[in-house]
Amino acid sequence: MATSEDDDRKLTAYLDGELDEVERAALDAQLATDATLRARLDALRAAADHTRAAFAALLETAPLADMRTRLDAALAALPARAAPPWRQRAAAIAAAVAIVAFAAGLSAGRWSASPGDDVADRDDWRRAVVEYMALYTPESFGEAVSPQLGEELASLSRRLDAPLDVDRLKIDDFSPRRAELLQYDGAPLGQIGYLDGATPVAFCILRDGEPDAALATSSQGGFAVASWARGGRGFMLIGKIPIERLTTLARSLKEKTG
Amino acid sequence: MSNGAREEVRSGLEAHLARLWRYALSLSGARDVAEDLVQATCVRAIERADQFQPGTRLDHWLFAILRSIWFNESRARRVRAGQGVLDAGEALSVDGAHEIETNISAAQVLRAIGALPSAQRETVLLVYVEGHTYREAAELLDVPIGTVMSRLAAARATLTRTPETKDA
Repeated sequence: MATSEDDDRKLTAYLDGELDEVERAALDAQLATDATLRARLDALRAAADHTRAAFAALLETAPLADMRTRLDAALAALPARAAPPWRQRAAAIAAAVAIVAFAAGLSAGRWSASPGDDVADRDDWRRAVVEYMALYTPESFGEAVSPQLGEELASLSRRLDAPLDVDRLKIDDFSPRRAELLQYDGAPLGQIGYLDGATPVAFCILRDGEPDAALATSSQGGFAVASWARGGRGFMLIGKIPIERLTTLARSLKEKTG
Repeated sequence: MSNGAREEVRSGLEAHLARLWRYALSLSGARDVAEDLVQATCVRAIERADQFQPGTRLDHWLFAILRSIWFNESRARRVRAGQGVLDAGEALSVDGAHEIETNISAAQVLRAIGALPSAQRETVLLVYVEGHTYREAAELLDVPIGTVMSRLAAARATLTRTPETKDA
């Protein structure tokens, strides 16, 4: 009561070393004679000290190993020199994907909605996929099959708790080229990239607990899209290929990955 | 010159991961979001490494990128989607309390910091934790220096009313 907000501002700037010499001398003189002001100074000082200590403790809980792994992957995708243009595009797309998925997760209200149990949620992630598929080019899925495809698929299998390997994912000459783990609204989202001829096609699996749904096809934003759900996972096959072709591929994938 | 910048960014990123994450957590209030935000920041920094001026503060440059991604891209989408602005405070405090079991006092202080208005929380982190001067914080936040001072004074005043920070 004896001190005001104005005093607090002055004392704060004093503590932070942000007063000029004249202001500082004036405040020093005031502090020398005003015990209430001195007590306030001590209280305000303690608040910042405790804040620093608490944030230092927080720093120790940072998920460093995870972040290092992801940073290494990002760096590996961008060699220091002579990066092939498709690699740069792929990285840019990966960033776009991360941001789209991230923003979509936020807009889906992760903190308030019950998880994945309504129609809006089920379609949200599929809409996000349609959005970022528009950014893909034939080069997005690589000039060659990823040398780590086996490991990539094994990792997806673990995260999605679903059996995924090259044999199951290959339909004649339609075979996977790369696999990556994304996330949507905190749930793991696996994406397996194919080229059908020269056209990128993506097979996406989200482990989100959505209820079983039969295979349905539609056309969205120029893409043929097949969707279904089984065993708490949502599936989606998407590409700019004839809907009949996509439906045939989707049926085979559904059967082989069930 | 651009090669030097590129190398400095690449080699420097790792050293700043934890602090970037802490900043991202105090902005977003959710650990997984914070991790994604750090990753997006790394990718952006690598892509734009040529724009970094060697010899200047890499961490400040990274903080500015992270902030821009959060406010211009992520938050803008969320607000457009009609979700309003999320209060990060609750999540920060819960996460803090959960992770720092051995440090009850830190958890309680984090809870109090989490309850601050987000602009105050961010300013507190930049100045008291990251060591920005008022001027540096004002530049990053794009507000007058007086606003930085007012936010810090208000935050300190609020925190003096928290049991854990009361006694000097």
